[in-house]
Amino acid sequence: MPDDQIALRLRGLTKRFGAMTAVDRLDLDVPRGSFFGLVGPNGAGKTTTLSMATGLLRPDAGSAHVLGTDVWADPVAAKARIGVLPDGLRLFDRLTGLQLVTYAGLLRGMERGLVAQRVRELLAALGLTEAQDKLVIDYSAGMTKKITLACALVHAPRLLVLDEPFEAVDPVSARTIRGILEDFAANGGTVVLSSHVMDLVERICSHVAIIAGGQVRAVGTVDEVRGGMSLDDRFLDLVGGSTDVEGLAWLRTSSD
Amino acid sequence: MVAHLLRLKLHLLRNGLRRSPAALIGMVLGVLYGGGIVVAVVSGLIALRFAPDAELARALVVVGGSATVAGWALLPVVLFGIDPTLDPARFATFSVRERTLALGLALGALVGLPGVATVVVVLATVFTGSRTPVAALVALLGGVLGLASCVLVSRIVAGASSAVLATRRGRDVAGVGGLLVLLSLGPVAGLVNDGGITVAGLKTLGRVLAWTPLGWAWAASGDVVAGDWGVAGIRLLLAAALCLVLFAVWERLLVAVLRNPHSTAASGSGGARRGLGLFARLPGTPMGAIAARAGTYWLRDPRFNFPAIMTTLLPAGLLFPGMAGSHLALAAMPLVSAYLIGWGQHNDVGYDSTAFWLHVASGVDGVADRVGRLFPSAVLALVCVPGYAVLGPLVGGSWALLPASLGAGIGLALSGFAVACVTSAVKQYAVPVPGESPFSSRPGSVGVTFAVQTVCGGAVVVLSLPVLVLAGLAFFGWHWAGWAALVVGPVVGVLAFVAGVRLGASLFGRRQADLLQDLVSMA
Repeated sequence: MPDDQIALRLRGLTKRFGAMTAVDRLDLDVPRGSFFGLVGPNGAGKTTTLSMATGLLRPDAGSAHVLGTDVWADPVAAKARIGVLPDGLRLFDRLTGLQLVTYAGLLRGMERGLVAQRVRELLAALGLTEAQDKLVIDYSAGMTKKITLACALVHAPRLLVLDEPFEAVDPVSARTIRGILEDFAANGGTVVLSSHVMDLVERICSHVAIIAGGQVRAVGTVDEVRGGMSLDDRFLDLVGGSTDVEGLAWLRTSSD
Repeated sequence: MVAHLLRLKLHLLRNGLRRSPAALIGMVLGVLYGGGIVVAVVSGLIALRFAPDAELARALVVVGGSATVAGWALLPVVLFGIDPTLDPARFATFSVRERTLALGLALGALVGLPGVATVVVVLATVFTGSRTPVAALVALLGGVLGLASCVLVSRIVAGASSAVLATRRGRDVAGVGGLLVLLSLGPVAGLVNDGGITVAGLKTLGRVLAWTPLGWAWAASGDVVAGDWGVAGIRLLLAAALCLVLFAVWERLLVAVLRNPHSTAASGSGGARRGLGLFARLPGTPMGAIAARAGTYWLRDPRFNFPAIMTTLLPAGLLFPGMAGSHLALAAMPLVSAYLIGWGQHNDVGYDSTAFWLHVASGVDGVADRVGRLFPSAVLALVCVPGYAVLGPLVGGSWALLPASLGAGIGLALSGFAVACVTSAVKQYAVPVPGESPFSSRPGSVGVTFAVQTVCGGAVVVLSLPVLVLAGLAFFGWHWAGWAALVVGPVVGVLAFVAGVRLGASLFGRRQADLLQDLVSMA
């Protein structure tokens, strides 16, 4: 693939935590305009990879390029093009929803009038206008994901990197989020998301990479990767691990 | 079960140390620092065994013992924060008998440096009391009872304060209570200043305390030495009864927490808010936004507004020696205020916890981050430092010292901000996460906290040394030095501040991802 067709290019990305190698010389190319799913078992290195790709975690080795800009050599230029939704990190949740998204916009150096207009539109699109004056700490899990997404979108990024955007989200909010993401991708933006819900990735993503043990095991369009099977089966095939439950007879109440 | 709980506490302690070398270094420092004090106290207690004046020995043991009990009750709240590892609410889902849990958690409080130090000191009091074999036995009994009341009191205070602080009203009450405690330190300091501690005074204090719950357990052995067998018996009985009562209170508190575990979780709701608040009033730039965010947090988050109130009021404690005629105390008020406000910002990024990712992901400029954060404390300093500088002469201090104290105050505040700009980009220690009680502390982090705070304090003093020397000269009668301080303080302060912002900003640019990683590992 030519360089200008790549939204996110990872080369030899490596991260060790003590004796444990979380990400091991990982290579990945995310084509522009794709809706890219990253799937893998717990502890596969998805969050670590995405953190290194977005400038939140310094890699031990390797590089990450966003639309041709090196994230770790020119972080300011690279970060201006990325919108991030991290998983498991806090928000400034003593602010109201309105204040938080405004804060995210102003931090990006945007002009106040533009921020106000975009925040209004984002909150309306995500159905949060009613709750804009509530503290974010009082939001439900779904609302929290949506307000974080608004923070990631407010500066009109070219690449969206979302870590588990659908976790703990109710079906209605999930539909809203999905609509916004599909619209974003259809208009030339690139979405990278991690998930461990195979069904969802199969339905909404154009491309997928399966990660296990800190390395890419399979990558390509969804059809290429699943090769005639369901993504779920293909995943278990690649990642391995027995699915048969042995023992635990005492849990079966009928054995009484 | 009790053994399980003790082992749990040991594991928590060990894992906390294993997690970072900094915690280990902190622990070593703590052992050296606390160990020195313990060695001094123990040798003093051993020497007291051979002191000719048995009455004095008794008075010292009683006063020291009472202070220990009071310290166990107050210090965790005021200084170190409450260790939440054995927070009773965390055991709500386990089916453990409540009495067993109460016993285990109380004993668990002894595992750790303060517990070990207290046990050693209590053992030394047994030696002090060993003038006769029976007295030694009574001292041992009294020591055990005294130790038990230390631990129980600290558990009760910790449990009750976290429940009380969960409500806004409770926080206000606690703030006033804390203020009263601080203000009462003033007269005590005044007493010490006047050379008010005499042998006779100590003996009287000992006799009084011996009849209060603080002193019962520690006084019994001395009674035996003096031959008052009946009194000794009564005091031991009273001490034992106190322990039973304390245990009952602790158990009831525990039961209340276990049956309604959410009562201790702080809630952050209430109050209608409209619009952008500070975000609309400060400039629409990254720096203005960061200032607005910091200001909003100071108003809304007890982790900020509680210390802010304390910092504002603490220098007022100097009014007591000041009113008694100490010009030094009055002139020092703006200095203390400036130091506390400036130095207090050195761990600001730590208070963001992992929400700091938003700054990292946005590629925020280092200068904007450094300066924006200081906005609320700068406002506080602008009010407090000149306020205290003028208040001193108004209540009887010397107007001639005003330029010196104002200049030194400005210098100290700016140096504090300069140091904060650098340290909060280099190393942050764990603080209560948002929503936790402002008084809780992280296990295994006391050492790092102590080390960072000491280094920062030292740096602030070194940076403001020129103006402090001038202010000192002014105090000893060189009037020109006061005016020189008024010039040198702001000038050196601004230079230090600019240098601090530059260095801090460049460190922030290079280290922000590592800083975030640090915060993630602490969360």
